Amino acid sequence: MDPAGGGSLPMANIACRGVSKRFGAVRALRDVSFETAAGGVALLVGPSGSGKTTLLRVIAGLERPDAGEVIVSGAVVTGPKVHVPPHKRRLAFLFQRPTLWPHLNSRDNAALALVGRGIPRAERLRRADAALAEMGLASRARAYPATLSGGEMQRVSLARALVAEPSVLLLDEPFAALDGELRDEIASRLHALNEERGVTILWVTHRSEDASALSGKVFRLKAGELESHGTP
Amino acid sequence: MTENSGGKRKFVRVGRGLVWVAAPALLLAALVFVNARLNGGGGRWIAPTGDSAVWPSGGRLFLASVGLAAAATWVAALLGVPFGVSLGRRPRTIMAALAFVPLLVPAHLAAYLWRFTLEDVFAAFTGGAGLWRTAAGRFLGGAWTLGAMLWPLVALPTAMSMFVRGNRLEQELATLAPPRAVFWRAVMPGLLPGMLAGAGAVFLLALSNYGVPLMWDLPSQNVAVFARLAAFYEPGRALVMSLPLLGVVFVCCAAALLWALAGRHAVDIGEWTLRAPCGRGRTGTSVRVFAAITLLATVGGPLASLAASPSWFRGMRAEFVAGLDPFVNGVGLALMGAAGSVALGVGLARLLRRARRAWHVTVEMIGLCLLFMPATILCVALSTMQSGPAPLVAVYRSAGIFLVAFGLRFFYIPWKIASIVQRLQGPPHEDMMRLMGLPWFARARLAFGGVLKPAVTVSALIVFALALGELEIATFLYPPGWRPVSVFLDNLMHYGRSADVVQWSAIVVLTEAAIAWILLAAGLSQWRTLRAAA
Repeated sequence: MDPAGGGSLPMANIACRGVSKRFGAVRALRDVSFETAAGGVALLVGPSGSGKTTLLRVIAGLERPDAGEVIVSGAVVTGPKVHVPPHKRRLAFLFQRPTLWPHLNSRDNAALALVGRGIPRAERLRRADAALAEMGLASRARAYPATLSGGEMQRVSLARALVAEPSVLLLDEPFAALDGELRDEIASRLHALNEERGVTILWVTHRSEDASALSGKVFRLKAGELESHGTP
Repeated sequence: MTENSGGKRKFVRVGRGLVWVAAPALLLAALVFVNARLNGGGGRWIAPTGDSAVWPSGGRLFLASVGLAAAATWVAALLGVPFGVSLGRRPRTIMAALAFVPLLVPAHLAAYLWRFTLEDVFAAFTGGAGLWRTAAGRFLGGAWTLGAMLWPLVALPTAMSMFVRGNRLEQELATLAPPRAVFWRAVMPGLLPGMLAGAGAVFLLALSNYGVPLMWDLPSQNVAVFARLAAFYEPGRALVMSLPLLGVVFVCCAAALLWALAGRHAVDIGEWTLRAPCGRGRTGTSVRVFAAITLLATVGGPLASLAASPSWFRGMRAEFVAGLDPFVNGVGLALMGAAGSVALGVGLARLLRRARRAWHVTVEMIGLCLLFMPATILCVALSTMQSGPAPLVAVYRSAGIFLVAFGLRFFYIPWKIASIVQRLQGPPHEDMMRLMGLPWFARARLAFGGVLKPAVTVSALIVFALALGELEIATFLYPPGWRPVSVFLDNLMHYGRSADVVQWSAIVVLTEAAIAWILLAAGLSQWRTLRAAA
């Protein structure tokens, strides 16, 4: 990553300073500032429309804030004169709904994250297979999205996110539609991922059970403002 | 807020409403007045069948066209609403896809075959051919042909209205009121927007139709415009005569678009027609029988004339060889048209996927107007440009002109389907491509190979089928040595070779039916897979 300029913040893997964002008359974020430690887990909670998704999109570089700066892995990636493209931030994003291409099977969908990086196709597929196996989907590697269940689709999306070996994982309520057992299983996998690889996780959720499953900082957003933070 | 300011706001709102109503009305009145003052358009008219009729001129010619379009709209509504309601109750893809068949049959062919059927095949039941040669008989025949062609435009949005709303309301009210009251008080109001949008589309297409009034010897503004252009080559006068038609199309499209933008109870006619075959579920026997009757009734003319033609087998080989070249030409030019419209429509949808709403509305408006306006106007524009801007000169006398003409005429269909598919897929896929930092060729492959592939397949098939039977652009713009099958058929009709027309029309109709089948088997299944994954 080669973000242009900006100061460094070695201990924090994600930091926001005075981030504000407005969509027309709606103020989605108001002067939001927070930081999470490298390799830590942070939960972003709050009611619907409180700005959680917008904040995640700003961190990912999918939205440009009106004011403030965003720091990822110690470098300013978004600031008044800086905007590092999303793919150069070394982060992965999981949306609420699985984003799989219907004409590609699970394996090809997972391997997509490595396209354009000079990695041979055979190696890309090998890594995709490994990630799918890690998600318990080895037998579904050649299945197409239309034949997968919602939970399987979301796990393929997670496998694709892991294939790219990101330093930060942004989760935008991706498991909200899954049943409790599956959700707990995925939460434990994420916990292991965080411990083994040191991936920083920022998880948007509105369920208190998620907060207790992964011990970490909890940030509470309300009407675009950071209301409080603490531990679950 | 004070009382005064509230009153002022109400006054402003009423004022705006009046402007919205008055401006189009004034525009139309002015166009009709100019048309009535500056052109004749009437006089003795020798029809392709050899009949001679005296046409009204000026405003009366325009009113005659409007009358025919209105009658056709009623026929389409009478056929389409029951079909749509039945299909909406028990949606089934195959029925919705088959409903596209009447739309794909070339208009002049349908009109010729219906006339042939009513005058000769059903002569014993209809009191002989004489009835269909009177003014009233020709009017009825023309309205029936147009309605029998265009009824799916009423049926499909009506079915979508039911499909989208579901039958929960109906089921909940079933315990509270008798079924008839539930239908008329609760279900029907929900269907009205879809029906009205469909009826509007039928009206515009009937008003802009060329083949049907031509074959039924009916006074038509559009046929008069075409004659002014093709027979006398007076593009200026043709343009003036086409202004009222253009005005009606413009006003109706703008109204439809404003309605769609309004959101509440709105119907996007393009989307509701094109997405109807995506419905799933099982169809009951009664619906299948009913649908089959409607379909048979509307394509029955061509079928009956095929069965009744004594020369159906006789001399088949010689005529087949004679018509083979035009058929191949027609397929080639239709492929050009499909390529042009898909490139323009899907390309625009892809380019504007993240653009502001105003861009989408503008493209939508242009696309709707080009699709619904008489193709003659496009011919006027393209023919007058041959001596103008350089880029068109190169293609004017080549097959490339069809890339431009059909590309402009039909680009709304690929644009609309691609936009729907992109919306079904949703923005997260686009965001995901940005996050992964895929190179441009990988992004293009993902977009066109995956997300847009069903859009390209489906829209290319629809445009190909429409272009194969299109007559106005084909007649006016076909390059030397490229006489297409639609013009060949028109020539056969003019020479009175009805047996040959029937013979060749069978091949064209079968081709269109095969396209409808491929549409169902390939395109729509892909589309549904995409929807399942989205």
